Amino acid sequence: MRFRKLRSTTGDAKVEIQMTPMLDMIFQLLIFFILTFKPVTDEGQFGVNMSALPGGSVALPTIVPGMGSQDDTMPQDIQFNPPYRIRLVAGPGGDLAPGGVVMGDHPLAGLDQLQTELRAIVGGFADDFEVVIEADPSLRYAYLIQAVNTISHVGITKINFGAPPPPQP
Amino acid sequence: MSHGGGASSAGVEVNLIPMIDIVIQLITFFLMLVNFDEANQDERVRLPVADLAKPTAMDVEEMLIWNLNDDGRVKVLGEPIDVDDNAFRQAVAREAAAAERSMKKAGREPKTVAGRPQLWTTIMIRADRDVEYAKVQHLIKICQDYGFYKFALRATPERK
Repeated sequence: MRFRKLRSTTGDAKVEIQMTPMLDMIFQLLIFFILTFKPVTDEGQFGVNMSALPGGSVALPTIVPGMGSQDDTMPQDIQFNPPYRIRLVAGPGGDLAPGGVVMGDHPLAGLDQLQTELRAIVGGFADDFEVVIEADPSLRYAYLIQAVNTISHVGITKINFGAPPPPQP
Repeated sequence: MSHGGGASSAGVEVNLIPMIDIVIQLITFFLMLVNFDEANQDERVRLPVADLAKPTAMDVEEMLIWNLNDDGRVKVLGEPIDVDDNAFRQAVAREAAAAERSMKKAGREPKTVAGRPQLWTTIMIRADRDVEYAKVQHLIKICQDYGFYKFALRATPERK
């Protein structure tokens, strides 16, 4: 009898859980995550495949990328259209010089004109064309990426980087 | 005695359960948004802007990120080293040796082109927009010398 009574009283008693330490911890965690929170930054990339040419090459110097191609084999050099040479001339401070975009031998007003000209040349067959960018070593990297971006807008995916010709005395 | 004391202490009861629910939901939200990728990203590098550089999934087997800041230094194990410095060349050599070992461990014998093993690692170049092109070119050249041939040039689609 006594046993039963005891059981019934403990069953009725309210079990109190100490919430305060748990709340403390939860708020600490929350504050930690709020303070370390950083929104995901948007980053994209231009994929480049740059196998070094075996035996070297006169036309294309050391760095030879072919964008977008994920082919593990040798780079394909045989093509019908010779690559278009686009030269980026650096002005003082590493900026693009006025008239510093030169396609072949024709100086252009800027990257916008380059896009228009390339679009007119390429037509709908952008896959058949290849472009070699020859940038001055002192040029800022941002202009190179702008040029790659402009050429990619036209649809050309084969973009190579070439060494610029030696400076004229 | 104890009965009476208990009754007096239980004055106003605050219902904490809804608050705990919300707080735990908030924690879960922030926990989900933790980006562990950013451990490799140097925030001081301001990427160039290119609207076509979309964050698409690339078919990358292995990735190595080089953060090149505006004065042409690459962060190697937390220490900035100039690209033209011999220490950087040694770091690339170490990475190349490690990549070759891991390729062999995975049963992939690297092909040899022009006397160099062709490594599967993609070199992700996060170069500052103000760095000289010559530095980027030199970095690529050194990596090529040790057999890396897959590269990706990082850019951001929007101006920050």
